[in-house]
Amino acid sequence: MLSRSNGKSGTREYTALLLLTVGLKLSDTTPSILFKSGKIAAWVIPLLAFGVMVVPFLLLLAMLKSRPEKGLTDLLFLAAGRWGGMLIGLALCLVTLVSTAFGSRTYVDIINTMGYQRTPLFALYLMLMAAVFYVANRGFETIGRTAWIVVPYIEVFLALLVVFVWYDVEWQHLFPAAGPGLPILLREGANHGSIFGEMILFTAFIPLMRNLQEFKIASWIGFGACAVKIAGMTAVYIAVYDFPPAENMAYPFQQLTRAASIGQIISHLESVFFAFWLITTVVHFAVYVYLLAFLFARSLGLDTFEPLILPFTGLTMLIGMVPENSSRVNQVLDTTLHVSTYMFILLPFVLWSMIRLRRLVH
Amino acid sequence: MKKGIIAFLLACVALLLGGCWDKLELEEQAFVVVLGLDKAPDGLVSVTFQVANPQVGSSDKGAAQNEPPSDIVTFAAPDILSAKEIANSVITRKISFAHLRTIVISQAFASSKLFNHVIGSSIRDPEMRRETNLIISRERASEFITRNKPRLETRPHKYYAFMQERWRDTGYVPFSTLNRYFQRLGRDTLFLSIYGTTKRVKTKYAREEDQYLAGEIPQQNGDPVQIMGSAVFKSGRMVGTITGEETRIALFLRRKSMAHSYISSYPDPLNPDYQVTARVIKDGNTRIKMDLSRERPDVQVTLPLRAQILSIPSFTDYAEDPRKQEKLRKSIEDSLKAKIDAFIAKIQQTYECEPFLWHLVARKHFWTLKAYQAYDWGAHFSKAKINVTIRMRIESFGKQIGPPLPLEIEEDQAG
Amino acid sequence: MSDKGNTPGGIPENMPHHLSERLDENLTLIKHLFAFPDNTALIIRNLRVPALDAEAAIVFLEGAAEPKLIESTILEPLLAKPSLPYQQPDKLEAVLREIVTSPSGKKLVELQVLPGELLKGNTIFLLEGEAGALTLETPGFQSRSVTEPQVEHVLKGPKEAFIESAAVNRSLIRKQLKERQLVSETISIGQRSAKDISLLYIKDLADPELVTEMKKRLKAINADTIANLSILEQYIEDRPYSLIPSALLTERPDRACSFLMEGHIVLIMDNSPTAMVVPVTFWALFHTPEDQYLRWAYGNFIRVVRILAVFVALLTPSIYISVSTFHEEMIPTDLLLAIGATRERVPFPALIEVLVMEIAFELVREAAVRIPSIIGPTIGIVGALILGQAAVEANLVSPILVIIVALTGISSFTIPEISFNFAVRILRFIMLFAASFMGFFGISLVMTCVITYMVSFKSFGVPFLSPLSPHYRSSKDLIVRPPVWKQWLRPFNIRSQDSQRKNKPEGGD
Repeated sequence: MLSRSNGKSGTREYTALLLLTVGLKLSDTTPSILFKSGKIAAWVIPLLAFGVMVVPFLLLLAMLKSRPEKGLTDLLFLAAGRWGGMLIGLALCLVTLVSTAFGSRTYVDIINTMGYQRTPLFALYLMLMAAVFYVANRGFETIGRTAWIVVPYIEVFLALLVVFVWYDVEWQHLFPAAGPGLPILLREGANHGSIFGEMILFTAFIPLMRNLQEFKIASWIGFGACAVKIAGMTAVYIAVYDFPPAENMAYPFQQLTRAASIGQIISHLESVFFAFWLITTVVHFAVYVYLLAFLFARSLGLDTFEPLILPFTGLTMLIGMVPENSSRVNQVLDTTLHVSTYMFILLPFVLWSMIRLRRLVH
Repeated sequence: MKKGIIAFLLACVALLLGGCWDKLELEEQAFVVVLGLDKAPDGLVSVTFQVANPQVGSSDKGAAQNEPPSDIVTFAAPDILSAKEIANSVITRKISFAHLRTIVISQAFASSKLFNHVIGSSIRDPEMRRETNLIISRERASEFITRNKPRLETRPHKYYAFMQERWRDTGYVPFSTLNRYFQRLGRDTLFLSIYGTTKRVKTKYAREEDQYLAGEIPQQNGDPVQIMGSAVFKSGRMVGTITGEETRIALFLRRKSMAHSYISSYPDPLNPDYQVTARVIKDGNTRIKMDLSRERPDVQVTLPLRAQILSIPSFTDYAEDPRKQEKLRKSIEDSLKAKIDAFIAKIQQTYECEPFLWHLVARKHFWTLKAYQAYDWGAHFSKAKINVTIRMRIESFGKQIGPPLPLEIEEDQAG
Repeated sequence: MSDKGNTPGGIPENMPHHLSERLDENLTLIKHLFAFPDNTALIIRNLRVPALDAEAAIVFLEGAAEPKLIESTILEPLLAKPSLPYQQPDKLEAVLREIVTSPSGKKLVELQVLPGELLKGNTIFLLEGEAGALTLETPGFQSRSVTEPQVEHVLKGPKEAFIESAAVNRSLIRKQLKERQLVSETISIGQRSAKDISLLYIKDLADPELVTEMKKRLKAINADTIANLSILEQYIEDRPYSLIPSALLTERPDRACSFLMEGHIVLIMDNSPTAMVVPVTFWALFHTPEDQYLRWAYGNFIRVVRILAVFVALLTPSIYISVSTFHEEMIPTDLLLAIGATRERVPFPALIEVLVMEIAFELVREAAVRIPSIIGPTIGIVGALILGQAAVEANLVSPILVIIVALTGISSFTIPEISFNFAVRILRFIMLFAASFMGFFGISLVMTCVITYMVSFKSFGVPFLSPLSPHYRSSKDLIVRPPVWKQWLRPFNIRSQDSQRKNKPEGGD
């Protein structure tokens, strides 16, 4: 017999949530950023990045194993003390805020460019963030459940997209296989680790999960599948468009949806894909906004964080509105990606050594 | 509660009044179905729009009797998008490219330097699709569009939609979209585009029915447009044409071909006065092996084919005699190989580049992008030693076993 | 609300709490309570009981009690029995145990329960010299006989429906569910005129927490009277302003029983030709009993048709609006031109067109329900279509809209549950406005919010979309169902105590 639902999420819900939030990166400017550095072999970078992030993630899990019900934020306080923990927590919060704000701006840019050119950016942004706030405000449990409801449809539509463009896929476009050369690939793979920075950040959600075991299973399945998905779709972009044209595309996913057709008569299906993509987008940002409020409240040692969701939604939007156009956004995003990569990779090691140090001292 | 009602009313007002950003009623838009591009003086481009008229030939309810099925207007402008804006000074509805599937480009414009800039910059417009078909016309595009009055299809878009299906079946013309154009902008490959015309040049009667280029096919009555052969693009500029037969060969030599079967006629080995008509089907992918280590690369191409004999006008009994079949097979193979070799030699000499997409195979031999670029496949191709082997088997002889000869002749032979 | 001076039984506070020993005093009290002599329904028959050698009176309400029953089970034995020494020292007990032949009856001493007994159709027996009364069951309410269901039709399966009598309804359930642990608790609610509500559940299946919660909510109701279950539903639901219902009303005993077997609670009340099932999930609203009665393939076929209908009913008008005003490229060119040609002569924007037709359709629908059944057939749902045809002829709307509105209407008829049906119909208009405002962008955002709302909605603590999301183990009887023999698990989301219906079958899972 089950107890009354206790507001905690299970494996399925969290896996679905990861598949949507992290998997969505295949449809934004991430592939374009990858093309810039990985050229024809850009599709390898997500796999490498995942491999790079596995090490700090394992270390973090090892530290959390002996501390049930504790998440990343608790660990921060444990390792760095009250003020240190707060400082690191706020730093994480800042990184998340910047990437969420500029990330959301990218998405609004995509909507603006690909479908709603005459609608003011601000109006689109406002409507998107209103929906994001509504979803985020209903809590982590609800976001997870929503994800679990919609994830089959999203994944089926992604698969359908590949089926519909299969006619145009030419795998030989993926050669020369090493692209810019192995050393560059490896370096770029490590540099773009923060594509999977959520592996570190989302450990903050452990207290909201039923138990650590379920979190672990969901993380491995979720992040693993996302790495494969992002890599796979990046490969498909190149296979369909060949290399130099693919590099020049601002939004390869949206381009691909325009190429999809069922036979000759039913073509131009991009709006259908757009609708499903938008649902995912809302869930995606709901998670980040929730994470922001959660991180911030925990860093400051506040008990309730729900009232913070609204201000953070607004703040995200305000920051997102600052850049003039999407290329500026991309520059900032690329920089954030690099900076946060080092931060995410180093954080678990720093925490680990701090805990060891504290033990030695005592 | 009261607050709720006020908020709801405000929201309703906002919904009803506000929706005017991207919202546009269907009938307020003019759907361009064909776009024509021509050279205009002063580095401008002359853009022709063929706008479909919904009130003709679509629905009985809304039919308008005295209107033409489409409206054709031409403007000179620096690029397509500014032409689109100017067009609204004449056309009452907002010009939309949402249903644009075909772009016609004049040969003169395609050969100019400007072409790549115009077409490359237009792709920024989200309404321009990479799936749009390209047709290169021998004459001015505006002329091509105006003179194209199909007899069976009232609405212009239907003509192009049907034609496209047939093109794919016959393989006389390549499948050319903007996407393929952009893919094959590089120096290592040629881009083939559909070639067509509404004018008749010299009419020549060829023994083999596919050695024509558009405009050369002897035709009486019927639609004015002839689509045959392809325009050859190198680095984004048109540099020449190839005939329908050559186009078929080029498509056959690609690893994967979109058109899988062609009906064509070959000399009858036992009765040179006649031709044998056969449907040749690609029997799997073309196998291409390369040896790039030498200065003159060595390319081995194996073309697996199967043939279905459709008609034997000489009444030779190939169907019953295996030895004669062998002769026929050899003869078809030889005649095909001769054509292929000649075509490859022509391509090697004329273009220093290839339309067979073999560069994709060549790419596999390199580990990094830099090494491949340094190799310069195009230059090496023109020097390459290419050996094409055809592997053909005759699959069937149709539903007739023997020729429909009168009974007496058979008796005479017996006696 | 009840008057200040009234106690819950509806007795003015200045009246005595107990019956007196004197018969005439008691009768005066009763007369006063029932506004006698203005109220001629109150019938008092005085008699002398020879067996006890005492004056007595029987009191009953005309229409509530059955006179023939009173005559045969009370009057005849009272008047016929000779005066023997009775074993019971208490005279009333003696009458109850040794003289009258009614199937049930009890002794009461408090005045405030007395009117309730009379109102239920019982007969009150008063005896001179006794500070008490007997209440004897002689119900005589009229009700119709059991008929076929009016709303929840099935082609295959039982055809009995609940009627307005709680006793009959309970009997219908008992008939189907021969279950030792089937508990029928009675709770009385309402302050002025109390009503009995039967709470049916299977003791060793239903979650005790749920039963306690239910009782708590019933007792918390602060109302004069509750007419029937439809009103009760509105008192106990989780979110009164929500589009989603928290309870399900069914008129089919077989449905009620299948819910009971899953651990749900069923409420039954007089004057309600339905049973109320709590808690409900999306699936309860979406399923029909037919799905299970038909063979696996057929049952799933109609399920798929219905889930499709839900989406068609919800989204068709909004998709039309967004496709025709925002995403024209989606329509095949031929159709686009055909729509464009007819739209050119229509003066209104597409949204107004759709609204006009949708509202016309809703009008016809409402009219069809309200119209007296004699003139009903003249205005069918066909009326809307003729109306549409005429509107097309008059160039008020374009022809494609008739198809869209008709399709939407037909689809909404396939949704079996009335509350859910309304929810979809209202939501359709919200979708329509969102679509006309922002196209697919609007639809997607609203849809996401709706999904989020639905997953976070709880009916009596049970998440609305469970066991799908949040996931619980169940027989996977959701959008499609497995064969009957594989449905061996009770849904875990209802938290029933015994999770298995039977042992796991071979190959089941």
